Amino acid sequence: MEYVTTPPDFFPWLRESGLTFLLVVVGLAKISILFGYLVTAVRRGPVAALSITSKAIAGGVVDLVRISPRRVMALAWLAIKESIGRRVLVVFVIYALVLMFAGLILDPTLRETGRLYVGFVLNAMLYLMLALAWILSAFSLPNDLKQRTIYTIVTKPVRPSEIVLGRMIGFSAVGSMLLAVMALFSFLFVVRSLRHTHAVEAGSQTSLVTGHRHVIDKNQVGEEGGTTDRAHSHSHHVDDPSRGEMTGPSQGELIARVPIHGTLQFTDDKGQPKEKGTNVGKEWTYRSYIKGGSLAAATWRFSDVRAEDFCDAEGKTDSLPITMNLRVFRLHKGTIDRGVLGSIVLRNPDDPDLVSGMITFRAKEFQLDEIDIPRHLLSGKPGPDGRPMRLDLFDDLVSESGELDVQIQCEESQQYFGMAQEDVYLRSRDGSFAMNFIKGCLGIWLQMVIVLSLGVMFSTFLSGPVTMIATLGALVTGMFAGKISALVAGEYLGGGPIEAFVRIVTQRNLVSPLEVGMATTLIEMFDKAILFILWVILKLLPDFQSYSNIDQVAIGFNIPGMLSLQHLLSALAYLSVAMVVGLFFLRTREVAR
Amino acid sequence: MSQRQSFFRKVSYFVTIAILLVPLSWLSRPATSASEQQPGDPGGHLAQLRSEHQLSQANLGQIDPTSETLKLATLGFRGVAVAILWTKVDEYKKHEDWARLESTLQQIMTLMPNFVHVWRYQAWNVSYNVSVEFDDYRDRYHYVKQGLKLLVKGAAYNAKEPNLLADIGWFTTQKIGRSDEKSEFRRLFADDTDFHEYLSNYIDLDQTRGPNENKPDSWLAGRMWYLKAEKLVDDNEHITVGGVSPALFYEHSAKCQINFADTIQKDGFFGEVAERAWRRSAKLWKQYGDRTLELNDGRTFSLNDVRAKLQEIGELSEQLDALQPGLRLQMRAERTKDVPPDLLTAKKIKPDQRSALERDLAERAERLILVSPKDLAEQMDDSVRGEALAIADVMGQQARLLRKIQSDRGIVNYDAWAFRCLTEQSEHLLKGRQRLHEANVQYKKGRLDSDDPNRPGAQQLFEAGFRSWAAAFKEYPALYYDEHRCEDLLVAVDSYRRRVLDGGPLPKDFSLAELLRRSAKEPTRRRGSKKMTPKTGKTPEKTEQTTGKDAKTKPAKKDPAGK
Repeated sequence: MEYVTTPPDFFPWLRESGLTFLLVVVGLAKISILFGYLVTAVRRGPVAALSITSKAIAGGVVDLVRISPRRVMALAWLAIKESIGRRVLVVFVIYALVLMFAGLILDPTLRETGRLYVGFVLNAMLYLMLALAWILSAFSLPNDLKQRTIYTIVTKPVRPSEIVLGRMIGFSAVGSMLLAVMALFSFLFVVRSLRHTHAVEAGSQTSLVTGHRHVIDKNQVGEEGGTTDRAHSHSHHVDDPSRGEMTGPSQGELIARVPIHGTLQFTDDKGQPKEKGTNVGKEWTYRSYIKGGSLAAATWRFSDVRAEDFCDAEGKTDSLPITMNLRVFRLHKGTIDRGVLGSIVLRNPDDPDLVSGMITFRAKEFQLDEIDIPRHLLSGKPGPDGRPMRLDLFDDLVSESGELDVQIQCEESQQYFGMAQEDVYLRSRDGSFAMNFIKGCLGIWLQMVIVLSLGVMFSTFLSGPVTMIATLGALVTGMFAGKISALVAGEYLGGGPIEAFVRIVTQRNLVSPLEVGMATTLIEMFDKAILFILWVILKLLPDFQSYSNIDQVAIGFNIPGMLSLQHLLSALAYLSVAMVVGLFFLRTREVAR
Repeated sequence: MSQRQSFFRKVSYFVTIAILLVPLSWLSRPATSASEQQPGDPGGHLAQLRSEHQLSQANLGQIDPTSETLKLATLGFRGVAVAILWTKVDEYKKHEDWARLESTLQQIMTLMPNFVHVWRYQAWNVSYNVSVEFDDYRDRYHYVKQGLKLLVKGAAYNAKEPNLLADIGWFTTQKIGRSDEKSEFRRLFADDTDFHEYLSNYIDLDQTRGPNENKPDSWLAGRMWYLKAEKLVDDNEHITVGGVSPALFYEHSAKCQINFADTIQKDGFFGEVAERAWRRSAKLWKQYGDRTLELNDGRTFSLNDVRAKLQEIGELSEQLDALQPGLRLQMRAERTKDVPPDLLTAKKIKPDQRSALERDLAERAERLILVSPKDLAEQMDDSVRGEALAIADVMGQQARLLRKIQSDRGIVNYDAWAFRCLTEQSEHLLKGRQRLHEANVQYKKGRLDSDDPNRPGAQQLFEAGFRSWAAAFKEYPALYYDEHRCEDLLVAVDSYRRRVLDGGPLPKDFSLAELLRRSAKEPTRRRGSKKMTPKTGKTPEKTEQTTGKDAKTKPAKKDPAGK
């Protein structure tokens, strides 16, 4: 499956998200102040409560405003020393063991080894770092409070905000250092594990290495050299196959493609626009299909198409690379040893007469079909002289606003092509895999820092074990945010938690409705209440999955810099809230006053 | 509770645990192997039970350190982990994420290497369900192999599981040799030197080489796996064929040879090569019929025992009659009196002159008159009744065994396959098949007619082929009842009529007129073939039902190609 997260436009996102953030923060602040005032009013009376609450708010604000970076750094250093004293480096030893024995779990003979290796190391790092953050943050403050070692700090002129922030920064620094070392080793492990060469055998194929070999097409690889076929998601450079030497190292496996996606519009077999194509009966409806030998088509509209995005090393743009990942559904066997015939037509959205001639291709399923559309091509409609015109793809077919339509049709009757919006894209110049790997690690780092901050925040008012449970709860909820939000949205059969429990106990199926009556009304009422609470929790807790770009890196898609920036900003928002909440809770502890 | 009481309570717990450890240690002490100096110790009761039920890892198969480590790492939640991974496999399959699916399958297998059904289910999933998701037949072949490799790995982990070996045989033969892409798959298999190298670690590839440039053939390769499965059962007293009937378990190796012989003819190999393949098929099928099979109660039989059992029962019947001569006839006469007259009338008609209704009535009459050995023994005088009952009891056992043999012969279609192996060696049939194959080749080349006797065209070859087939029918008239082959032949006749005669009528002296006549009489039994009348070769408007007389003389009722 190929998928990629396309970031929303930055400034609209910033405006919308910032506003939501401010609303939530102000709302929470109001609720907290009101709650604090009411509790104090009950204990001390309304007038005294007003004074105490005002002082608490003012004190907290002063704490925040007068934070001393020097003291924060000193406390952070203390947290680093404490972490090292608590043998956090064991995590690195565990990771080293994981890498050493990874060969026992990872099978290099599988087809998409690059994806498996990259996915494995990034996931291993993620889970280890999250576990480290969870344990490190949960016990630090509670232990200090319990063993009264906190007095060695609070007797010094430090503010509670500095204690909280110092710990957050200190633990994050330790985690970051570990993550950096692990990332470096992981990168080297992946690159070295996947790097291999083959011997050229009889000039037409290569030797068998890690369960695969490559075919050398003599028509394409002459004496001057060329590349082998693409097998197991990579190819090799061959200098001269007739000399029977070794191939070059594997290439095209660790990549960072930069796709330019368009919006997909289907037309049915009568040529009428349609929201979706034909359903051929697959359980997964992500893709829909267009009927071959008819007017049915799938048209992608690409925006912001610029020639300079597709230039070669010399800065020239001679073609437009289109990558397709189509599915094929045959109603009859057809010609079994040949892919189903398809066609591509490029069209200027502003001028229907500016259309390219048909470019045919044979569909390749479950592999990336990369087609370079030449920049200069003949038109599909005759010009004034009755003959096809010569068109420049970027000058004639791309509209003034930078839009281009790419239409794909299946040319064989009774056969179908399946596609989703992300299946066809224009491939801009590839990004650096190393850089993409770092962006993937950034996602891990952000998750680690959020967990650390949540842990420190909880530890300001909970004991160690309870902090662990609370942090774990936040982490698990955040990791399954997608599934929980689907539950809240009612996308799962069988109702809410209580209804599901009743169905399990009474052995009922998920579809048949419960009997109408008081019991069912009560069940539904409680379910609604639980789901509302879940909804609130979901809105407050970070969605950890959204920070994880591991699949994107493993599959070989570049993570847009803008997406990383958005993740960074949203993580900062959570950190700031965690710090402020932690500060106020710590101020309530007698020891910190 | 005082601190002292708490302390004593803890001490008592430790003492109890220590005391319980003593018998546990004694019960579970490990077995030691014998040496020259001292005899081996069978170990404690638990060790003996493990050995008896073949439960230890070493008994089950290969010990894999990775698997053991991962099993331990799940801290007893292995089942839960596998269940989660299993749902992930389903999800990846739904989302067509094959890389993750394969990787997750390996994790499942590592965690549960000795759960045979996991290997069998997931190997089937990959070879049959995942492979067909791909449009390119080369990708399909790759995943068929992946499923096969999964089974091979499973067989290594479960060294005493014959059904895994039999499954490898099934996948190699049926998936490669019978799927829609069989010609492409068989070609890929024959040329897949890397896979041959892999297979050579497990089977003797030299025994799998076929006539196609001496390359390995999938049917023969599958046969080697079946032979391994058979050897495993034969060599180990404790290993059984599981829930499969022994007759079905042992038929495959010989059947592979038959299918091999059949397939190479379709691939265009005839003459001595085909004749040799069929001769070997007949020999292996006979060996299969002679093989001793064991019932659950320990009794043994072979499929070729029918005649011997009938003779044995006959001799016992004579012994029984000899104890009190004339009693059986007397009892039959008495029972005849009670039979309704219409049944008796039907019985008096000669068997070959009875209608279907009369045959049914006659059989009912015979059942009413029949004196069973037990009935006979019970009516004998006191002096011989004991001996008579003993003989009747033995006769009953032998009759049940005979029914079992006949039932198994029916299940595996023994007679039909034996007949096929015999007839396919016939020179007429070998030539007939070759001519028809060549006729199709010439037709594809566009050579319909030729005057050159050395280079005949499609028409001459079709006609020569039909003449050879007619001669084969004359040599073996029972061939008319072989639906599968008659059907193939009718397809060839139809092809001849359409291609050579432009859809016109067949010649009056058409050599296969008798086949067409019979086909027109019983067209409903033909699978998808067009029904033709003997004179015109066109579809008849009315059809006749199969007569009971014809049905009675048929050698087999089942399609020999069916499983």
